Amino acid sequence: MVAAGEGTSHADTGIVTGARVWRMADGTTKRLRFTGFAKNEQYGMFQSGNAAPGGKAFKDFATEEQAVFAAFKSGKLKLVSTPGLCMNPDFPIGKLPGWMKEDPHFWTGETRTWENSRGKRIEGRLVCLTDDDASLLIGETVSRVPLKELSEGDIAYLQQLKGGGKRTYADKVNIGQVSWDGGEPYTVAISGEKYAALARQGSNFQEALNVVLRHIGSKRMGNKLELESFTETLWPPPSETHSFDTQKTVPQREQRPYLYVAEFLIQQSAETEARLVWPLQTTPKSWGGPPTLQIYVAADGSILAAEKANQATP
Amino acid sequence: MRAAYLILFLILFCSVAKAENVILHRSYFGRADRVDFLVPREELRKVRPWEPAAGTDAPLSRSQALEIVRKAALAEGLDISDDSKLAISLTRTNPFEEELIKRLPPGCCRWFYLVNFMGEDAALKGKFSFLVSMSGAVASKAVAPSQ
Repeated sequence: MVAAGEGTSHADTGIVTGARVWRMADGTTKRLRFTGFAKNEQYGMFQSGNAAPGGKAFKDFATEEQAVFAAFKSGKLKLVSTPGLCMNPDFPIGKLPGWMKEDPHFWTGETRTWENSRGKRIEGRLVCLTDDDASLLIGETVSRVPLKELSEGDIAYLQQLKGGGKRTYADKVNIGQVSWDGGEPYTVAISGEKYAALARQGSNFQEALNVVLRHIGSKRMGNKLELESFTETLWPPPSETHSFDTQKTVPQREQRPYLYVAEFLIQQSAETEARLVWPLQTTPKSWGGPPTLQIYVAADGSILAAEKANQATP
Repeated sequence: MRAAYLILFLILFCSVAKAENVILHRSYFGRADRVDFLVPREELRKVRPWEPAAGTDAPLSRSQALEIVRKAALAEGLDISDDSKLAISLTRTNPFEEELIKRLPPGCCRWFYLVNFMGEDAALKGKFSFLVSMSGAVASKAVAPSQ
């Protein structure tokens, strides 16, 4: 079997990311991601950094790499096609940039416990995979770990991920920006993992309604709030874009969960208190119509909190 | 003889009363049009008065209502098999529409399901809104200029 790069301990599956240190004909090395063949067969498409892949001549690569390209050509070696999996060869390390945290378009593996070969355990999520290393999001920091330092269990997980046996999730999926006229824009978000779990659950209309009514009933001014409508829609799909991956590998049709929105009319005497408890979901003072409150619920009966919408984009 | 006339009159009156529609819901589309959703008065008397309360299921479930709407849509030649394009609301006659409420039978159930189409398909856009009463009746629609 063809070795796919330095530190690659599991190239024998024949599925690789193509992202690693490549040896060049002039003796130098370059960190690149091979994304496929160009129209002109003498060239391949290679990604460097966050730029879109560009063409590079195969003759510029070292002799030992030529065998790798031949293996790709013959189909012995295949590129990973797991939707949403980031394989950027230059994924940034360190504290996750603020804009990225807010970006609903970034995809990760599931939260799991990783173990290095010395037995140290840490909880994190895969944010980027290359043939040399795995970038793990631990808290809000990204660490790049060489694959050879990971445990057998971790490698088995990565193999499953590469083969399509495991999936990736949007870090956060939100319902988009909402605001009452004259009020502050807000959004409601859930993690990609919760999104996928809810999508499997299906509709739960009556139970979600019961949850909302109990939730309101438990508040001091609950009897001054009157249900006006309770609406079921499907949650918007997670974005089809991927900030750190110019390849469109995000799932095209993600199964979508049901989302419930309850609207309550607020009696005048409870208006101020409602605004204190739900500052974003209650109509602002300047609102012309009857004072109203919106409560969001997921199909599993969890009440979802509204967050101030982040309007800063990268 | 007079009694016979009276009975005949009563029968006629009742059949007219039976067919009488009331507006259960009025929605406004922009400034141009309003749509009145009408159901036979007797439909509103078929179910017990119901108000949403935790643990008290609606007389008609969301799934039953959706099934009724799908059949009604199919009868009109509309395909609404894609759930992702639907918004299903449990709602009631707008409490600020006092004139409408006055005309409803006293003590009737004012809650109903409203299924709206959210997609962009030209064939369905704007057209698609179905109201189902708690008795399972699909409302007829009357479009009128709002002013």
